Amino acid sequence: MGAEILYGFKIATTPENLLLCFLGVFLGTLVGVLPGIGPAGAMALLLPVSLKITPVGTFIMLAGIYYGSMYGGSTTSILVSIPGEPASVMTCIDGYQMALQGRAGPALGISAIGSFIAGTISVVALMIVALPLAKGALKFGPPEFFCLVLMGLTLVTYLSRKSAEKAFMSALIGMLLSWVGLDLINGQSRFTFGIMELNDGVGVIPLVMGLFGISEVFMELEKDERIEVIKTKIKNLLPSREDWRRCTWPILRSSVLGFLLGILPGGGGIIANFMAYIMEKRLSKHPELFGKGEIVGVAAPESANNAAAGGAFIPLLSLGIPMNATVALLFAALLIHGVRPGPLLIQEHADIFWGIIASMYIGNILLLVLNLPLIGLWVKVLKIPYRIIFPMILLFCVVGAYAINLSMLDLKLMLGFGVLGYLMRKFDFDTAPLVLAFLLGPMMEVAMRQSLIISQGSFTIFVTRPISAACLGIAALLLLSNVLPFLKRKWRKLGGVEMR
Amino acid sequence: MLLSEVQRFFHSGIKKRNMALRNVKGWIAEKDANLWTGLFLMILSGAVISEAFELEVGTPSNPGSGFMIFGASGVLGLLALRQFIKSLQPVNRASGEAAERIHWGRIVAVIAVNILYILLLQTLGYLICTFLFLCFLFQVLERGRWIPRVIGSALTSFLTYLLFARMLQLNLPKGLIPFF
Repeated sequence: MGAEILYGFKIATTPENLLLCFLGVFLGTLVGVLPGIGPAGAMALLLPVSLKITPVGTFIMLAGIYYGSMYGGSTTSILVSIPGEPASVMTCIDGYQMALQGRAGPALGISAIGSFIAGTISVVALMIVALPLAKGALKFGPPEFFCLVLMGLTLVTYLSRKSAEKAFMSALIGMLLSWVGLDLINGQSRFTFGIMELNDGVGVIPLVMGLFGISEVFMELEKDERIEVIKTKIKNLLPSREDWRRCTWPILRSSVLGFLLGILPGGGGIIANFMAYIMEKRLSKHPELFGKGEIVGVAAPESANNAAAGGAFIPLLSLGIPMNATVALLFAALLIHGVRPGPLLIQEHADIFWGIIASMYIGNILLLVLNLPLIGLWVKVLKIPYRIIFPMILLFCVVGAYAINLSMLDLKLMLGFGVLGYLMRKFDFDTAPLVLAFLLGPMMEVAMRQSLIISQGSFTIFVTRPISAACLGIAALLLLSNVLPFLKRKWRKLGGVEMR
Repeated sequence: MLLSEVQRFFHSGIKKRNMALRNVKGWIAEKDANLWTGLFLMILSGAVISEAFELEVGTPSNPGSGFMIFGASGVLGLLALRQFIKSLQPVNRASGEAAERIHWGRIVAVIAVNILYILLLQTLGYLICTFLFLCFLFQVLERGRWIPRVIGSALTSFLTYLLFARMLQLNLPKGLIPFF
């Protein structure tokens, strides 16, 4: 493995890739700091620009935005008590209290250092786990892939922050959208309404820009909120010996927990951030201090969300299945470059796999440098009014969507998806399952149809093979756990009537 | 006499219409958005299912182009039906909840200006169109002195043109200024 890591560093340290890594983590911190635009939106904005860069460079830059945003999110949580991005939600509780007590410096310091430790641990774990998993996945056939994707989508909908039922509907709409265009098996055109451009399908860039860029702007426009940054002197960024003593184990525990939760579909940083806080509160000898400016309440959730960002790369790099919306954009970026993430990625594009691993080590160091001495800059960024930011987001969306194919249809689609995304958010439909299903839909369809052709029309092929049966079993259990409380309620109601 | 009869008839008509409107509005307010999304998704899934049959669903041993579409839209239709039925059942609403003020005007204005941008981009070109687009957008959230905003819009249009068209070599429409 040593030679491969050295190879990765050789790729990641070329001047171009170093610059892209810096640009990625810088932009990541920026969007993490700014509420109103998340990493998914920022990555969507940069997808068209990435066409001018090599696939390795694109992946390095976009991955930097993803894990960089986890660092930046904490700054807003601590200084404004609004999560810069959702994965920092629990950091607000104790982080803001610490800032009120004049301890903003140690809060920002421990969150940056905790993030660095967790980020580094998760890269090491990613390297160790992804390789054997990818080797195992090489044995997968169409039934296994179909069931794996089905299980992934079921988990994503099950773990949705909103209604699981609506998330499932969202995923189905995403699938239907992904099948617009020529049928991959027999070349028949579907849902094109006579528009030639639609034969290639709905573009992923207009879709993600609309759903994550434009609709986020609409959501922000309807509010009246003005950001008020706490007025405090930020000093003593480096944690004291006492802080270290109290935070070392929580950082390590939360890194492991975050990494494991990051691998799960739909998991990502939000659940990791939440669970780490709960876990540390339970394990603490002084749980009553949580919520009143406890430093562990900042260190643990911030470490967990960074470790989760590393964990989320495992299913993408080894199985070719993105498990959350932000990683789905990395998947989309590689597809645009003609690279298919999956078990063969490590063999066929070793430069991408080892390049990204090495760049994550470098990126984490860059982030530590960016976040500690440059904290003053991020505080200034926080004060930029939204009335200046949102026209720029809209402009980047419009130019980006137009510039890829010079197509007016793409612009119209982007605006349409923007309105759709806004309505979905208003009606409590999660947009992430739509994007995931949109990206995985074609693969799912081909795998399903190939499996049925192999088995000559018998659906038993999905339950007679152990891996596919296990995946299907997990999906079924999750679906049942959603339906069972409803059945139980009905049963109780009926029982109640009889007893009376 | 006749005039007062007409007036009375007219007023009673308005009263009846207002009452009917109040009833409809009340009914709409009672139902939550789930009813409308459920209904819309049911219609959508019905249309997609009929398209799936047009495309040929096929058989399990020889699945056609509409096979998966039929399956997915069928499940979507069933879930939408469930949501629709659930939304018909009475729900206990929390009373006294202060509704959050939503600035619909801003959103409609931004959508409209985006549509205009799309329609005029080819004719006016990137620079002019973006300048007008930004002039409007910078005023949406907060009205203020227009001179700094016009200068800001002009500068931003020009700088982003340099970034996109010159540095990133993206092909942007020239429109009325062909030399750029």
